[in-house]
This record gives sequence, structure tokens and C-alpha cells, in this order.
Amino acid sequence: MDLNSLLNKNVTGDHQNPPLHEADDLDIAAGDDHDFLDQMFSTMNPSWPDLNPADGPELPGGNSAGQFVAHFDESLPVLASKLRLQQTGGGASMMLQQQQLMMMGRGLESSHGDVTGVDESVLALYNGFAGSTHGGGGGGGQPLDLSPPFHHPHPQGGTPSFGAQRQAVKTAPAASESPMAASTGQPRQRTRARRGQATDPHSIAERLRRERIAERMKALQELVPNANKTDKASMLDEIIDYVKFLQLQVKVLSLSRLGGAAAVAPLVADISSEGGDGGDYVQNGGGRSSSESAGDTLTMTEQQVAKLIEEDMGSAMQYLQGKGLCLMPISLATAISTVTCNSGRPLAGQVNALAASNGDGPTSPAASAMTVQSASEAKDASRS
Amino acid sequence: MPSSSSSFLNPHISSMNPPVRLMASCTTPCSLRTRFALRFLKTLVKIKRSSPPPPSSSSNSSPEKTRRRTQRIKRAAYSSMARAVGRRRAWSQALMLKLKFSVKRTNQHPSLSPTKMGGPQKAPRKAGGRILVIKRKNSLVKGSPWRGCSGVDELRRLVPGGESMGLGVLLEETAHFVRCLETQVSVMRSIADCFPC
Repeated sequence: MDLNSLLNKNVTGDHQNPPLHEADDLDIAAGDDHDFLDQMFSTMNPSWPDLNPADGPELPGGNSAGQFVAHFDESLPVLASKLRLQQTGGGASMMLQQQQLMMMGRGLESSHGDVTGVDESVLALYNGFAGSTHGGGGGGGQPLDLSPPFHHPHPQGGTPSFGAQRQAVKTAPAASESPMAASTGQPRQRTRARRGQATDPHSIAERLRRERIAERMKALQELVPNANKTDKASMLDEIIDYVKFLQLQVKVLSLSRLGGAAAVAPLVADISSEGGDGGDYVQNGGGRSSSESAGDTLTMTEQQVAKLIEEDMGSAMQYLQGKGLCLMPISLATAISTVTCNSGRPLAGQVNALAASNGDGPTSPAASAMTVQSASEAKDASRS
Repeated sequence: MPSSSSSFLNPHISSMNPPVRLMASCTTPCSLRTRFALRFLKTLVKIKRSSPPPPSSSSNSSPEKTRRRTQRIKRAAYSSMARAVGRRRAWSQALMLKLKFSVKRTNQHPSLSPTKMGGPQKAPRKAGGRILVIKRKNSLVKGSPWRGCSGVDELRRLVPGGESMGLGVLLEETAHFVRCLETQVSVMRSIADCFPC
């Protein structure tokens, strides 16, 4: 207990500090980490009036610092050990703690029975304290605010080691050497990185960028089918193939606008030969628009929908929705069907009129509302 | 069907009396799908009016005319999609620019065909014939696992405006581009299905 004897020598009998109380605190602190500091700061003792608590910008809460000082003799090493408890691991934390202890020791040595010397060492401890709280976020402990209200450090699992740490704290000032001086130059606001990772901004930015890219790749993976590839390169190839496939589909579909399967067939033959890399995609898109007549598929769809409507309207709606279709009243349907199947010319005006009129029926009309003559007839047949 | 549009069904539908007719693509008026469909149909109608569709017998129209018409329709599809997206996305802006320049070029040199979509995409050409290539130094690709990937360059070629984007932006644009392409394909398919003539 070298430290304590030294402190006691410096501190005169001014204070009415109840050492008994402190002893109690020390004893129970082993089991009750958070209570200790609570008690320490609850028993405020303004018994050192000549101490100047507001000592420059270093002490944010002057009052509390003064009170902090009041329990100086017993509390310092304990506080240091509390700091230790706070910071679990990380070489920097050790260095900081040792630095505080060093400064404390230095402050003590330089003092000549003067209270201010004690104050200096307390300030040093506080600086170390504050610094370590800034840097101690990574250790899992909550930062201690010496300005009121006082937050308790997170109760660590290191209570069994409390005693051992106290011993270590006691011997630390004797053993620690000058490497601490180097650590004092470290800026307090350094962000603590996880162990094994660099803290310089470049690598952090690089890491962020990589994470961003990874999450975007994941989003793309959900869009593109056959996205079970774990390899990034193959995922990219899959995406590229899918984009090419979609573009090919657009090309083929624009062919079918020409009207008539006959016009489309010879051209489609060319297209399929030039762009045959769609894999399983092509079966879905390419073949349909060329060979099958459009009515067949729709008839099948609509029979399916008729069946579904019998059972459950909701599932029928979902089925339609999945296909990109919806239901519409007959009046509108007949209007459009007369327009489209008679001639192409009036289509322009009619479709525009249809597009312009909103809320025309129970369904919101889209411009692409069209009727299927054959489908409707089949539907009537199945209904009646 | 994956689509960027939010399609909700009117609550009146369930109370509607059967029989009902099947119609195509009902969605909220403000969705990408309806915007695209609107524009595309208008353009289609214009194309139909200007160059009438060839009759069912293929012998009437020359293959050249057919091809040109196909390309017109395809370009109309892409331009209406780009305009439906608007300026919100980098790829739509680049696409609109590219189409504008390619149309200009066709007007100047009617013999040349406009740039195809599926092929390698160059940056928009100026009217004077000089090729303006926007190339960005990929310093970011340096130390990352994306370094040796040739797929990234290919993706840049596929996505309009992809040459001058960073990798993160490129992937984001690709996702939106893919969704819009899917919408485009589904709308065009439903149009093709419902207009067999």
C-alpha cells in the first residue's frame, strides 16, 4: 500500500473523510461494482475548500471534480482499477491506464505535501479517465461522465479479478516506464477499431465501400433468377446473361408487333440463332411469341381463373395479378373490342380516349387495357 | 411478376358480378408500369399510323422495311421506358441522350443504321461525327476482389451510362434497370397477346 501511505502523507487531516466508509466501499465493491461509485459520489464531501475545482478546461464539471477529489486517498487506486475493469482488452486501453497511473505517480512524486500536487495527480487521473472513456467504447464499457449525472460503468464480468487488478494497479506505477509518454500524444477522439483491423480512414472507407457493394449484389441476386451462385464472378455473369436475355426479349417482342406469325417466323429464326445464349430463359420468351397463337395461352389462363373464382376470389385475384392481368366490366370490354377488331385506324383515338378517362369502372383503367375476343367468347361458353 | 409498380386491386372487384372479361395489366395510375404502357402505346400507335403494319402475307413488305420497323418499335420501347423513369436514374438519362443522338445520326445519314441496343454501347456521338467517350479511371477497383472481373466491363457496356459510374452506383443502376426491363417485357408481351392481329 505504498501509494496510499504516500497520499496520506500529503493530505493533511483537513478532510472529514470517513475512511471507514471507504473501507466498506472497497470491501463490497468486489461484488457490487456499480454501487461503489454511486456511494463514492453520493457522500459528497466539500471539505477541501482551498482546492480549486475549476482548473482550466480539463474539468468539465468542476463541482463533481472537487467532490471526486474529496475521496482521493482511498479512491484513486480503486478508480484506476475500475477503469481497468471497464476496458476489456485492447493494447491501447492498457497503455492509457498505465499512462494515467504514471501521471498519477508523477504527480504524487512532484508534490511536496501540497494539496495542489494531489490535485494535479487527480487531474492527471481524470484526464486519463476521460481519455480512456473516449477510447473505451470498444471495450464494452459505458463512457463515464464525470459531469453530473454520473453514469455507472457497465458491470463487468471481471469482478473475480478485481482483487488481482488492484494489486496490479499498485505495482504498476513502480513498474511502468517511459513508453507511456508516447501514448500521451495519441488523440483522445480516436475511434477504437476492432482488434486486428486498421484504424486509418482509408481502410475504413474501403471496408464501407465493400460492404455497400456486397449489399447491392445481394439485392441484385434477389432480382435475377438462378441466383444461387456464391461466387461473385459467376453472379456477375448471371446478371449479365439475364440483362442480355431481357434485351433479347424486347427485340423479339418488337418483332411480333408487325402482326401475323408469318412475318415474324423467318425473322425469329435469325434472332434465335444469333442470340441463343439465354439458356433456360429462352424457352419461356422466344418460342411463345413466334409459334403459338396468342389465344391459346389466354384461354388456358382464363379457364384457370374461372376455376379459381369458383373456389376463392382472393386467390383468383392473386393469380391474375401474378400474370399481370385484371378484371374489367363487359361494357368497357365490348367497347374496346369493337374498336380493335374492326380496324386499326380508329384505334388511335379510342385508345387515347380510354387512357384519358380515369375511374371508368371499378378498375382503374390503364392505357394497355385491351380485350380478347376469343377469350371472352370462351368465357361465356364456359359460364353458360 | 417482379415489377417496380405497386399494383393494388380495387376493393370493388370482389363484389363484382361474374361474368367478367379478362383484361390486361391493371395497376395504379402512377406506377412505372402504367406510365411506360401509356407512352409506349402512344408511340406504337404513331408508328402504326405512319408506316402501316404489313399484311399477313410476308411477301408484300421487303425485309428491309420490316427490319426498320422492328427497330423503330424497339427504340420506341426503350425511349418510352426511359422517359417514364425520367431523370431519377442515371441510366435513364444516359439512355435518353443516346437515343436522341442516334436519331439525329440517322437523320443525317439515312443509309447507316442506328446503334443497336444489344451490341456494345458507345457513348453518345456528337453531331459532327466525333466520338465522345466518357471513361472513368477505375481507381477504386484496385485492391478489391472485383479487380480481375471482366464481367464488370461487360455490365458497364450493357447498362446505359455504365461506363462512367463507380461499381457501387453501377450495381444499383443495374438493379433498377433490370426491374424496368422486366416491366417493359411484361407490358409488351401482354400487348402482343391481346393484339393478335
